[in-house]
Amino acid sequence: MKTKVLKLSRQWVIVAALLLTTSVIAQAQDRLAITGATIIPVVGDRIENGTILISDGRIEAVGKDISVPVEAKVIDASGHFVMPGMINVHSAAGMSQANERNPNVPFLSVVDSIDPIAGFFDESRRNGVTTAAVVPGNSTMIGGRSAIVKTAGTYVEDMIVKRDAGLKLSLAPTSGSSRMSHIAKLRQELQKAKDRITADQEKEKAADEKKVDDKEKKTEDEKEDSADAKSNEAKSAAAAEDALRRLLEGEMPAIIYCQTSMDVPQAFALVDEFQFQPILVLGRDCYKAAKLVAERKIPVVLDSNMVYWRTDPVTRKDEKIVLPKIFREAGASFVFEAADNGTTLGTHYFWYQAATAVRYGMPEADALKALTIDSAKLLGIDNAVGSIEKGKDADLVILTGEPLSGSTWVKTTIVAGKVVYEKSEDKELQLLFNPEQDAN
Amino acid sequence: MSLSRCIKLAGLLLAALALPSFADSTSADDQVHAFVVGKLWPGSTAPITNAVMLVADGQIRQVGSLTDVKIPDSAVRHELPNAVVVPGFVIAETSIGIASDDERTLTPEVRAIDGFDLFADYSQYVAAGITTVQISPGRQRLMPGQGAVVKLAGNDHSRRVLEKEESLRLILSSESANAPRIYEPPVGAVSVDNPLDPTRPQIAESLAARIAGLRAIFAAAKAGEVDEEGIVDFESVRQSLKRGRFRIKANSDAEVRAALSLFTELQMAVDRKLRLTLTDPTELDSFLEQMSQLKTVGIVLNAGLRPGLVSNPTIPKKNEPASQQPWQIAKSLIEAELSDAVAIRPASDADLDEMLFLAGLFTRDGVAHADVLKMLTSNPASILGVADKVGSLNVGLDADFVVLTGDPFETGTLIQSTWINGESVYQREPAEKSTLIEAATVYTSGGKHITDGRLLIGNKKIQAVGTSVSVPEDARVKRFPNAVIVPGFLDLGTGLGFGGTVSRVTLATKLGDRLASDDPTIQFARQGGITTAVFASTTSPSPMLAFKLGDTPRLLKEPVAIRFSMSTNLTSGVPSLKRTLTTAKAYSASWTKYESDLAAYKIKLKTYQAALAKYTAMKKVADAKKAAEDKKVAEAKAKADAAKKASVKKTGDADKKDASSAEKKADEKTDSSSSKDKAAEESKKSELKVPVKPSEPKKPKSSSTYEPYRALFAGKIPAVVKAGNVKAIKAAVKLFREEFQLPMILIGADDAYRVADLLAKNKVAVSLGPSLVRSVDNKQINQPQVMANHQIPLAFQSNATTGVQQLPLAVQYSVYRGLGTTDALIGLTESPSKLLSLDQTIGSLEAGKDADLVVLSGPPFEPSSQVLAVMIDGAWVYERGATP
Amino acid sequence: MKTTSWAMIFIAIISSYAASTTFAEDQVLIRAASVHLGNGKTLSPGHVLVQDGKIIQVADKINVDNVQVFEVQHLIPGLIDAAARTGIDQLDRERTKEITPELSTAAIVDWNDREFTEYLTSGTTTVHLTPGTDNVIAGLASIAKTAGAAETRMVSEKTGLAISMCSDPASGNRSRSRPDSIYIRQPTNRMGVVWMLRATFHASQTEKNDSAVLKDVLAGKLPVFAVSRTQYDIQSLFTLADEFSFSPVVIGGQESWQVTSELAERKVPVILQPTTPGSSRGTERTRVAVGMAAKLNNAAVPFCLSGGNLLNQARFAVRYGLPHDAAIKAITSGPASILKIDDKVGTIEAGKDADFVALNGDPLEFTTAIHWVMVNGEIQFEQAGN
Repeated sequence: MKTKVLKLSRQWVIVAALLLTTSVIAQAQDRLAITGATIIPVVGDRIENGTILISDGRIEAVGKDISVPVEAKVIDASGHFVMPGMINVHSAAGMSQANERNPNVPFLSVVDSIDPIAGFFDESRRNGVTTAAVVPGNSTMIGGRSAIVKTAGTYVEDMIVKRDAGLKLSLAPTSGSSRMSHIAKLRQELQKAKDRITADQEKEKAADEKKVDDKEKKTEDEKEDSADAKSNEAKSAAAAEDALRRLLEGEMPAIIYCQTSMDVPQAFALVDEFQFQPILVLGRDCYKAAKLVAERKIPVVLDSNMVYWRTDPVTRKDEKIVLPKIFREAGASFVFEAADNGTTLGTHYFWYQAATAVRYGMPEADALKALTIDSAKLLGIDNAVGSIEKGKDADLVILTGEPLSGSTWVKTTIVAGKVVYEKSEDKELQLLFNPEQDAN
Repeated sequence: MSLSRCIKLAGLLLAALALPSFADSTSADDQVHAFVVGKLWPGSTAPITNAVMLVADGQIRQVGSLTDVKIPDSAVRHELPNAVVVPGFVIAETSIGIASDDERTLTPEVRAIDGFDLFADYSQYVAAGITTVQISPGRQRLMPGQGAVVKLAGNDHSRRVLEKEESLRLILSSESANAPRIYEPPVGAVSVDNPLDPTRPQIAESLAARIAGLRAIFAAAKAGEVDEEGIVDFESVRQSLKRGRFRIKANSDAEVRAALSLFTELQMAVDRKLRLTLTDPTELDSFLEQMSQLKTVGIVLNAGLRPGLVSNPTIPKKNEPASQQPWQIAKSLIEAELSDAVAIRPASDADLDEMLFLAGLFTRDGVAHADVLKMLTSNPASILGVADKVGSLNVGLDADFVVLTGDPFETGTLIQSTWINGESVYQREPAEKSTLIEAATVYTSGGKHITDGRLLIGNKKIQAVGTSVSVPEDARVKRFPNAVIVPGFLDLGTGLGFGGTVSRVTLATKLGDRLASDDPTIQFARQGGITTAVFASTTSPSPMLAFKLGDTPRLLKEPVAIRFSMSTNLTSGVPSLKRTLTTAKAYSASWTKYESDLAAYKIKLKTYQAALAKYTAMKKVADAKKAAEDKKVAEAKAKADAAKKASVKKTGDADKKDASSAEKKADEKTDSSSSKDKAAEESKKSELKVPVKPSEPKKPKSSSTYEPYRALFAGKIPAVVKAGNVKAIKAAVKLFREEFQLPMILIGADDAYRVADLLAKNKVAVSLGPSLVRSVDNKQINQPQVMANHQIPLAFQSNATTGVQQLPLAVQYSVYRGLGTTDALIGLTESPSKLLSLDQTIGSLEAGKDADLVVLSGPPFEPSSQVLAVMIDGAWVYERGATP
Repeated sequence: MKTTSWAMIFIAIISSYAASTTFAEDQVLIRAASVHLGNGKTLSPGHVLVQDGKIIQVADKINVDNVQVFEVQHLIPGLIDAAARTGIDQLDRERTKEITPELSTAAIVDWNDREFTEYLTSGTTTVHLTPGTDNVIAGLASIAKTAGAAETRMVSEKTGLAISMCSDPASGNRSRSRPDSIYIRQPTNRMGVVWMLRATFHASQTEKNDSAVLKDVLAGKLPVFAVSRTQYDIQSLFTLADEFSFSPVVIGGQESWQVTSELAERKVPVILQPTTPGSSRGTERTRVAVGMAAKLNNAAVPFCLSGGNLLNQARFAVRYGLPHDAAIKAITSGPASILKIDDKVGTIEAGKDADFVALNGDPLEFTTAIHWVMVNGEIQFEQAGN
């Protein structure tokens, strides 16, 4: 028990140390150059023995013959590969508790519970993930607002890429209610919000039509508003309204979790009815709806359990379900999800997921795109991240070999031009290899 | 371990890994499909015979009789000459896919469509002809929510959902009385913004209370109240009032009355026509008038009884209207000119796949079949408000229809296929179909033939032959007008079977399980009409094996004969052959003896075991006796000792001596007595003596080389002897027939015609070929003819591979040269199968034999005749210009 | 008799009809860009000639006409899972006795179990069926093929005695609810497990227990497959092995990396069971080292991987430092020799069963897919789309 405590505290120390060093490095360098590497920009062809020039956190130049300014700190990556930092599009990790027991909490935001020094972020950096969308869990009807963060930083605020990146809706019935009444409830909530909006618009219209605007009325209105704002209750109510309003006005997409195939058409029905931007997160049994997804031409997030066996309840026939295969054959585009906690297969690694897809026929280039630029597009942040292009954030991963090869390791991870992970300095990894050291 | 099997296996697995494939989509584009059918029931109007239905893009473009509908050349024709087509069945109320009822009694916001899984597999209903159903939320709450109308199959989901909000359901029957009296909302996380909902009472008592409750709710909804406590969502109630479609479940007289009054009130309140669907009434007579006035009422009758099950109906009480049978209600409704308002639903969703039967019940009391069919198709469609899409086969409607083998509601009518939006969503696959073949002439056996013969083929065998054969309902019929059918031919010597020559085959060789599948040589060879081939190698002695020339050759017998050849050098050849035969005979003799001995031994053994049992039993008794005697002896001894002790006491030290002597005497006495006992025992033993175990006969050494000879010497298989010239033939006959009395078939006997008498005398069969007609010093010898004339059993062989195809041709030439047609035919069929004792299964067309036959365009061996088709083991392996 | 006569024909054919199509049917030639023999060597290119479900020739080039030919990229021996539960899981939970040496997994195999297909499709052709860890002495393990006709699939009915030298049999034996339970199962802790093992073996020594199986074990005729994960369980196993002089094999061995030297000198093989990659905790809260396989390999401990998805495991083993060839060994010849069936399977050599896995790339890359799997000369699985 005692030793355990010790161990824990020691790990803290390490993490702290790591962060310190990184931040120190960060101070030191302003311009950074990565030379001699095989660059995989994901968009466009590979660049053999190329150079990436980085200045204040952005990519300044990419190419073969780029003169490295004297003041720049140079990372010689010859013999190595450089690819854009990978993007985790849907994860409930990195925060304290994913699911709220209250089924209707649009006013919550994950930002309030993200823990910058959670192991999740270490693990992300270790495996070359530089951006992560932290999303409320799958078992809350309206689960709250997600956020997109970089995986490195001391405080939440300097990690955030996009606050209120989406509103999580779950079509999986919450315990105790049937699918029908769950959907009915959800629809009611959305309908209310819609009605509110139309009502307000009419109000405004009326206000505009009023030629003579009498001050008292206005002030009264203001008073009312402020009065409302007083009560705590009203606040969260307002927040909730606000969240749904922004959803319906298209400012914020809905991240919809579909548990089974029948939820997919349901989701599309809601989209058509309430006109909002959807991001579909599919449970593994949604594969029957692949054609439907393809018709809609929107990319979806595949379940982390991409390959599994099922026995058909009617024919008693055993069949191997391979999600990437099915969706590709249906012509649907998708990105990967990694398991939040480890499995013996390794589905908690993004590179493993991509490799699996390639094993079942996906071209490697596409798989790499899915890990990076496609995910960025899905989250609507492809202007900033997802590829190695001039002007984009310098979120880079230096690999010891081909990205999807089993013996390839992440050597260095760079977020916004700052080195945030060095394998050689990864004490935890060394400890994994030689636990003996743990004793002393 | 044939590879083809591997591949098949792989294929299977492949299939197993493939996606769950959806129903094959026949038409999604503008391709026109023409369904030409024997009879078509449009649903609402009278049936059309010899009808055509043109379908494109899943919709009906044209319907009419063959005469007035022009089928475009581009159209894909579906010929269903003796089929009856009816509209896909529509069921006006089910609860498919609805798991459980909500706690609350009033959930108007709930929609059944939200609980319906479009991806689930409803093939069992589709297979029963049901294409469209209404789905209701909840079964036992007062206001369970909104129903929906969906199709049960099809890939295009947008086409499958016909009505999202079909009607608001109200349940006045007793079911809704059992809802929980108090509703306890689930206790979630309680917070300022999410307070704990209070528990509240629910309307679930008497019918009166429920009606009152509903009145209140509708009033409130109409008055535009908003639901504060979240008891009932007035908004949804308002919406459904707007839509104006209601569905009320009411059984008893009282409930129906309540339902109708509530409905009329609503109509008055909103002051416009609403639609009502009244479900499961058991008594209607007193309301017929009211309903015909309302006009906008649809009635869904519950079929009540469950097919194949027996229930205990309640005896109606006195002075209470007896509940009627659904078909009685239907009848009275029809008489009240409400025939278009009646639909049928099963008592339970479990019976949905028996709708055809249940509907049949409604034809009682003389209700017209057409009317009953409407209750399954157009009526429910209009009740559900989807008559513009489904329910009848009229132009512009969806092509949802069912193909029946006969008229609906007739016993034995089967559903052949079901179509939704012009896509085949169900096809009944025939159970091991039997085939009926009709031909002008059928040669059965012994050259006899019947005219206008029919052959019924079922599971690979001939089931029946004759001029009138009763045919199973779903038999495939194949007609060969003015064609001739003969039994499949047998070639007694070929190189077929192994995709090439096989060398060094000894009698030990087992070739049977190595026959080559999918061998193109075989596929070519059998086109001549040869259905059974005998494989012969060149070595001597070697086994011959007979097999069918199917796609995967089927071994009939191995060995089917042993092949010897008289070598050209007879002086050395004959003795060596003789040696072999002698040893072989000895070998088989030893085995025959062993087998008979073994049988004898088995019997002996039985008797021995019986004896042994008897013996042991007796011995037990004996032992018991012995034990008793021993006891006696012991007692005697004890007495003696006692006596001795006494004597010792009496006599003093002086005469210890005699005492001791006495003691001795006593001892002796005991000894002697015991010895006597022993003797006695011996004598007893001698009486029951141990039976001797019979000795098991010694098993002779088994030899794979000589094993086949046993069959030969047992006369089960013949010896096939190759002998060319007269000398050789004579030697062969002498050796095989006279010395060893073996059944013998002579082959390769060019000089057979010279010694025909000898052969006839010794009952030697001759297999001729390939060359049948020889010219000896410019004189044409037609060997088969000669043999036939001497009544010598005849067979033919080609000694070829692909050439096997031409054997019948060769025989034809011999016939042309004078061989009798019958002899030729028998020589190709019966006689060889007899010689090889395969005549139990092949060689003639008789019930019970294998279905091997050849269809000829004319009489056999006519120059003009040619092979139209060949069947082996009930499967057509070759067909040319066959008219179906 | 039959086979001999077949062989005889075959010879006859070769001698007289070298080029004839005779019996082409049952000869199969596999031409691979590279053949990983399983013994650490690799032929590239390599040809393998198969007949009657056996390998009859392996060379870098074989010329035979008129035979079925398969062209593949990489060919490896059919994988061998040394600790599998396919077709017996849940069927072998005997909770009324703790000591059941006579129970045999061979008797209860459900040949149609889906798991067999799952294993086959992931390249495993031979499985060692070890009974569950509910019992202290669980019973006899057996070996079977993952595909083929049921009657032909059992390879060995009796490979050794499986015991549970761990806390599994002790778990859940304290009757929590009802102390008056009619039957309270023993043991209730680890000491109890050791004690029961000792007692049983002793009883067998002193003729108090007449189980033939136990006798064979103590006579060294049957090995003991012990499920042991923690290093102290492995230590206790050594102690018992010394006391009763049986030959142990460790199954699980999550902490075996801590006792490599001892394992090496005792030559005790380890059948590793899967752990979560990149995690430091294993079953029974064991402390696992990433790259245990590499450690065992360096210490020259005879070991193999097991527990399904062998290729995947081997791939991670390589990622964590195990040499390529060693990794292939660890899922082919390694288990074969540990299970003493290396005369039948495990490598691609003339005379061995024709069990292969054909892949479209380097077997140990995560991106490599299985093309087909052959068992006893028959392709039993072929990947769709290939």
